[in-house]
Amino acid sequence: MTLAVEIIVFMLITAILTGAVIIFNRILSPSGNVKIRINSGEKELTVKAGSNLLSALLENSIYIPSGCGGKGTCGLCRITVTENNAGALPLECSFINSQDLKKGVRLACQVKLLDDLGVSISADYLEARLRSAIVIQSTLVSGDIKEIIFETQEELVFECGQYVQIKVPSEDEQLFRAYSLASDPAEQKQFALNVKLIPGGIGSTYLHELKVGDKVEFTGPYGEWKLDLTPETELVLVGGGVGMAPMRSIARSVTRCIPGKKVSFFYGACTMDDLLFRNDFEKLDLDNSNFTYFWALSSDTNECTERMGFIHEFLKKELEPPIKDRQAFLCGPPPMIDAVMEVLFDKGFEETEIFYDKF
Amino acid sequence: MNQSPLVILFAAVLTNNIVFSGFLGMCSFIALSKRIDTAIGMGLAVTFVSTFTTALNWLIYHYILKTGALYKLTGIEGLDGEIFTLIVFIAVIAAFVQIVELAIARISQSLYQALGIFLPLITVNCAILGVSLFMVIRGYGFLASIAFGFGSGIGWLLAIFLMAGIRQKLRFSKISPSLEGIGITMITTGILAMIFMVFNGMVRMN
Repeated sequence: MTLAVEIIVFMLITAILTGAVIIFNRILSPSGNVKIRINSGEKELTVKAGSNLLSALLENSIYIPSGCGGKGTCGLCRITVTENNAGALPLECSFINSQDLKKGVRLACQVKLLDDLGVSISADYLEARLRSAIVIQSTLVSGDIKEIIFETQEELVFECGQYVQIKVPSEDEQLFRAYSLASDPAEQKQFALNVKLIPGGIGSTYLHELKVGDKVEFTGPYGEWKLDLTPETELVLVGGGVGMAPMRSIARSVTRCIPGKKVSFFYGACTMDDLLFRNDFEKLDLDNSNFTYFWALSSDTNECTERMGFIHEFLKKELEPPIKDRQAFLCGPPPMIDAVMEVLFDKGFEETEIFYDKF
Repeated sequence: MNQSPLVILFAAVLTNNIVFSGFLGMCSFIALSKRIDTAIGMGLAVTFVSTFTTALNWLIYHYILKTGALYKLTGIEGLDGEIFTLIVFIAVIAAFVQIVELAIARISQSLYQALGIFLPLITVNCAILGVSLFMVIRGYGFLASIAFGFGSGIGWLLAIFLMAGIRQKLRFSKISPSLEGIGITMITTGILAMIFMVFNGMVRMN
């Protein structure tokens, strides 16, 4: 008898506590809908509260680029929150500089939808549509890198150095991965991607398994690399590993359209096998007096000892200072970009003259 | 036994600081003392939780769980809720922390992200449970218990705030590699504890 009463008392206390948690959860959890006002009223979306801005925009077919699926590791989904900005999270501060933070720039994947928001989205993001392309060629160019060529139904107008977002089939959410365009923009109905297979990587595994005739969906092109088209501006291209892809696009396009432009291409790879499209680049070097091709291997000990070393060391040695107008485009792993940036600053480059993509 | 709530408050903050004299709540103390702003956020959360859970636990203990209280409540002889004390205290703390977590998620995303896993871990923060248990052992009255709970929270806040300030400076100092991080933090905690012992002559808590 007493035992039963004691147990009932105990259960009652627990029930009251659980009830309190349930009630507070009802009051405090975001519920209902919130409104997102885009470009001060140009467009208005009503979405469910509680999710993040990036997925809400993707659901409404506004394709903000994102390479990591909303984990806050790629820093691509930059967006300006103009009304009701709750302030950037510590995670975002490593991607956004203090000037932009003051302007309200946030990573869309980290903006939680609790209240109505006002955001400004650039026109090319708003216009980006989900398009489809068909694989017309897929070749292994080295041990783990494939060049995949796609054909689109309509023209794909892009500039050198831009990238597309490939939609990766996934069960729960819209998943995209960013890949640089490696082809010449002149090939209007085609584009090429150079994809390195990352063990366990969702995007690269999907792309590597594609066969000729398979259909993919993509959005884009995106990217803010502004190539100076005047022939006097000298161009320095630095690519590391598969980061050579956008450089190949730039090199091919510039040598064809602006033959007078001086281009130096520095290509750093690990081993001889990783050095892709060597014949292509050497041919470009031979055919064009203004195109120079340098390469370096960071970890191959067997051959060409004079080519051993990191690409930034070669850059330091080979790049002639000082030329008046010049631009540098870098793409590769973060340590390479950092090392190359340091060399470029030493050679007198301004921050506005350097464009880079760390991956 | 019958110290005034003000004395208890003062003692809980300085002379009997829960971190430096009891060494309770050390895991979140060390994990979250890297930056001053997160340290203050966590300190405030702990203060809030410890004040309110101590008050709630006092009420529940004295009106339901204490030997004889259930008899008064129900009139049935032989009832004793005393053995439930620990499990009920923990349940009260857990429920309260969950509500605080919901509130912080709603109010400040950046604090919520900074506190991360340590916010739910307040549930098993031994400082919080320790305060409730000491309150029973020392036989405090209701007001004294609130003062004790609040004072202990402020004491914890003071401790983690001091530690965060020191650790922000330590980042720019030359420290032997073997002591970097946790090692130097533990040593600093020891030195701070010794400094806090100086307050001991001022008030004595039972």
